[in-house]
Amino acid sequence: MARQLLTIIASTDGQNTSGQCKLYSSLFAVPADFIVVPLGMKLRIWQKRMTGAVDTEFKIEYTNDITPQFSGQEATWTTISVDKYLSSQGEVNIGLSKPIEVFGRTGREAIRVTWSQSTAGFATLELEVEITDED
Amino acid sequence: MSVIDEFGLVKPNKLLVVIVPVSEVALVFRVKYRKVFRLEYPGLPIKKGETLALYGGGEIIVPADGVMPAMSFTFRSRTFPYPGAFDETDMFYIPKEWSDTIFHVHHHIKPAWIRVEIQIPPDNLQIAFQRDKISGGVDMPFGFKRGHIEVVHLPDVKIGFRFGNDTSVTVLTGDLMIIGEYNVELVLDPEVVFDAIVGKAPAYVYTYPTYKTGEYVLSKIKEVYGFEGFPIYPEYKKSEAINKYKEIISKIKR
Repeated sequence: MARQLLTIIASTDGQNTSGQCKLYSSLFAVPADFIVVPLGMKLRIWQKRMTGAVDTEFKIEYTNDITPQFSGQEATWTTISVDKYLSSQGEVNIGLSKPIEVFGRTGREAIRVTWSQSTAGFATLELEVEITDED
Repeated sequence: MSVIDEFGLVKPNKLLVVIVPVSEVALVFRVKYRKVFRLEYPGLPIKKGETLALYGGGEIIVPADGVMPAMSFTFRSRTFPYPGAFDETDMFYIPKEWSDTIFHVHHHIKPAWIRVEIQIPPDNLQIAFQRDKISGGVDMPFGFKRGHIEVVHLPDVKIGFRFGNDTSVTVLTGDLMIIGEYNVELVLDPEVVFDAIVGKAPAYVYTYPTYKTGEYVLSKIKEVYGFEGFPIYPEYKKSEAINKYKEIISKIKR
């Protein structure tokens, strides 16, 4: 059975008050816009950690068909998790006793992270992710 | 007591049965002694500038050594190069004269979602559904493994690997190899051969995933060991099997 743990960093760009986060990981050769769940596997988010200096809302969004995105169109995204960070500076850790789970039922499912802020600034959402074919 | 250790390698003085299913033959080896290596292979054998196929159609150029672009797969088989090896393009290839040597390798591929299949010989599809009607492999929804694959390398048998990355992420790859280099002797006692093949004697059984090219493996086995292996009999045909094995063993030139 295959199981990969990885830390994914989603960050704002510091210049815009909303947008789609670039996703970084030590396993990624280049930052990603979204992560497609491999066919037959599950993507689980076990923990979230937010840091930053400005009021930021992060959303984790899901689509069950990423195909339009490959031809320059927008897939249909649904929000599956919202984290609002209201401190002027600091961090918030959220450990999930039951993970957020996305199934790779067709190999076209994907997640992305978006942000919105009242004032543009740097903030990051760190995700502890497991990609596995185990139940 | 298990015949394999915590790494999945056969312990010294234990038996290894290698089955070629499409030809319904087996070889039985005793591991006399072994060397165990843990090798962190720095990136899958994918070179900067080469072209990989894409799952959605089309092609993509590899941006750096060992990097697997998003939604890409290797169309052709790969081997693992290693400087100074007998064949520097394939670190697990050994010549037929090295008949007392076998490699038993566990590949732990990173990231673990990478699809992997083996082809014997390279560039020969092995997996098919409904006889040969629908081929499988890393470019199909079935016929591959993810993250881990186990391979037994016999002398002079060429084995190729294909890989696939069906995520939207361009990834840095790697392969933690747990390698057993076994010094073996071929077991030629008919009773032991039969018991090992039918599972009555403790032995580790490796089945070659050759469902189409059994003839290739058989021809190599004959060149290396002087016979085409032992036919596989069911447990209730022991006397028939023993007689056949005696006949085969008597004809082997040693």
